[in-house]
Amino acid sequence: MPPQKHITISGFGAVTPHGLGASILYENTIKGKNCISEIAKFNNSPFRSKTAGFVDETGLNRILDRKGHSRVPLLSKIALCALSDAYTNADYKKRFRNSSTGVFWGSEGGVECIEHIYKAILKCNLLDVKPLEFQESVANASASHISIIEKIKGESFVSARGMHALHTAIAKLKSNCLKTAIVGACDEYAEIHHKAYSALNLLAHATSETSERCRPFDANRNGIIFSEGGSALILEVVDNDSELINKAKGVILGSGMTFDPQFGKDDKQSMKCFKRAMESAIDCAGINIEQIDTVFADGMGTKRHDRVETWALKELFGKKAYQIPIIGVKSGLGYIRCSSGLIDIMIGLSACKGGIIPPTIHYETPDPECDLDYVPNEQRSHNVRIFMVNSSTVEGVFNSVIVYGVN
Amino acid sequence: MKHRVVVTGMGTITCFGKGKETLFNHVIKGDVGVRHIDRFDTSNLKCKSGCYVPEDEYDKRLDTDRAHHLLFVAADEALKDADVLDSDKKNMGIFLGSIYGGMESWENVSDYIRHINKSCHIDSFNRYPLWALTENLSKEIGTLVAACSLSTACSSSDFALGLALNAIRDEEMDIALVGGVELLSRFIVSGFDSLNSLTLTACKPFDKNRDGLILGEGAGILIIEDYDHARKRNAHIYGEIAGFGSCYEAFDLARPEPTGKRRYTAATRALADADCLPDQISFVKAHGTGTPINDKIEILALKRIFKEKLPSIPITTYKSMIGHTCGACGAIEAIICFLCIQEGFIPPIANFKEAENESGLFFVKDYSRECKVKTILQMAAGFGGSNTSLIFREINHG
Repeated sequence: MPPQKHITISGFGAVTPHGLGASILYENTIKGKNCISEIAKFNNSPFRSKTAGFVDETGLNRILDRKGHSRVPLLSKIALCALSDAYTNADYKKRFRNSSTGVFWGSEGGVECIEHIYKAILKCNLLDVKPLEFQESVANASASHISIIEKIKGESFVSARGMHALHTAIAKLKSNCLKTAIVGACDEYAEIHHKAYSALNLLAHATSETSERCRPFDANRNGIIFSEGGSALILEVVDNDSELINKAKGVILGSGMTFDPQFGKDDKQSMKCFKRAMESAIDCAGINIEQIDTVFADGMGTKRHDRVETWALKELFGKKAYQIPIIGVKSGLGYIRCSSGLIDIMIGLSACKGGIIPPTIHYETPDPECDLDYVPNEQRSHNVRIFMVNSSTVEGVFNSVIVYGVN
Repeated sequence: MKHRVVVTGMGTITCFGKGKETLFNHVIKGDVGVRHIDRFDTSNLKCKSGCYVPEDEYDKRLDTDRAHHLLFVAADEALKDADVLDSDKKNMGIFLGSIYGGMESWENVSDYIRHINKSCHIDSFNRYPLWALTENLSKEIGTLVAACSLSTACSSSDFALGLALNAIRDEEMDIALVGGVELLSRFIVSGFDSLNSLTLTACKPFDKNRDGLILGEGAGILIIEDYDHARKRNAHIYGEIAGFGSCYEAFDLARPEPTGKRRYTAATRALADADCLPDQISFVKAHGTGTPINDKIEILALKRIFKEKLPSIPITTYKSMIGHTCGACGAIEAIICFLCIQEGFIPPIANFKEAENESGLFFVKDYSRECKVKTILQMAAGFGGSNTSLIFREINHG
């Protein structure tokens, strides 16, 4: 099976509303915990949708205080803590501090900083702008902090999407430009996001019959619940006979990415696009489709996304689609925009080791259009070896990654 | 053997108006596109000028974010210039750089949340995110390839060019639309003003009396493709993107690394990628922002790269003419570079009079130089230490 060189995952880390660390993410996810709560960060009364997922900033400060980095804005705190967790997980021995390591990061920019600067602009008092706040507002600020603190001087790249960062990192590692890639993403969730998604009718909300929940694949699903958080994966190119292969947590076998310019207008077309992303990942992985034993679905929670994904899975897997567990972790975690997909890879790797797959929670009413095995509500023992991770965006970008997990 | 990647179409809109010919005609004359900013209140800002796109260049019938508008205008020109086939559009990669994207839409939504405005156009909610520029353009073109939105501060569109170059070399695609856009928004002007980075006199890169940069806005788009693909369809070729190099400084979020070592690393990576020696460079298109620190460090980097040959290498920058267009500067300035290759000119550094302690270096002063231009080194640097270099080369069909 394996080629001479592998793109291995040496470590991974996460900061999510479940807590600080990939371990607690997995523990809470398999328990079916819901980390979404009523919004307290800003006034939620004007909104029909009242909930989202937020990280514990006090906890982040405790970790970063010890390292002397707690003065950075929230977005960079999330990034640095996720990476710290990944380094611990990777048995970090400072071997990444060189010019053969690059940072590949997904970020939309520092909302907290942008809002603060804009407030100062409206008050016509730029003296209110703190030193470095303008630089912190730029999308590559978190990646820059990582490169500065960890002394990483290789080629680096910042995109608005974490999965694009992963895709680019894989290409760079395959072409031998770099030996190691720190891949990750970070998101903060602010009032402006909630306002925008509410105006675009994307958010889950309570009805006369159901409470406000993210309900992937459920007949009563009515939208997305967003969260903030961060993720970091450490990828290394490793020879088959290197001792590092034994320390790897997993191997990235293949990835695929497509775009549907007509998303929202033609679901069949979208289904073909999503299927093409998955096929591309499988081709790239060089495996037989029968070898995939688990799917971590995108499971966005909208009528359209979940229907399109289900159709694509059926078209791709045929009858086997009914036999593979399809897991929607956004049900308890929410949609962490830039990190979507990367978080699922971590949960998948943890499941490989732990032998337990998490449930898709809030699944109460089956939808005839979405009739696969979504592991409803209860965790399950399952031998995970090669899994597929799907993710998409609200605009029609589709990603798929095939991962081999070490247990 | 690396695939050769060439430029077959270009489009732009800047402070001089629409079109690459318009831009080039002004740049080779050394014209300066600075105006007093009247788009928003600048009374509490130290710097009140910028190089913004004239109002009459906007089509007011198009109800969309200004950044999106600029992008669509530039992309339209580039696609027509390259005469891209419809069949190619489906598989066309899109790589765009910007720092703040649809910032005007962000401000609209923000004002609406603060009850400053009673209403907000629904489009604003879908225009402000960084990815929105790229994905909305993708929808317009009809590509099925996932677009890439990059943001590495002022090296964003240089990075986009590098990424697209590698994607074509790796045979991920045959053709790509690459570029960048940045708006002269109230936010960005205020942000740079708060850093005291903006000039209070005139932007004069490398001059001993330089006191800061001048901001600009615009969009630049290049159509780049595999050489064999371009030849097969008889496309006009402006030149070749021969090499790309990048390097993070790992030094400081705000201050550049003071020795120029990392900019030198990015440049040497680009030269190696292009199989090019330093003395084959016809001229350097420096980042040249006009700030005391940037220009000094850039000279240190150039001294490391060219050593004793530096005095014979012309150095120029375009930012005193079109402003620092931030996330778009790489693309817009690349367009000018390829026209320099085609037309055989090296534009001057507008407002430059005398260098600071750098006697003997060849800063292109007062007027354009007419000469054969074979290979150009373009340099860029961004907040957080993101350095890039690109090598542009005349096409050789041999």
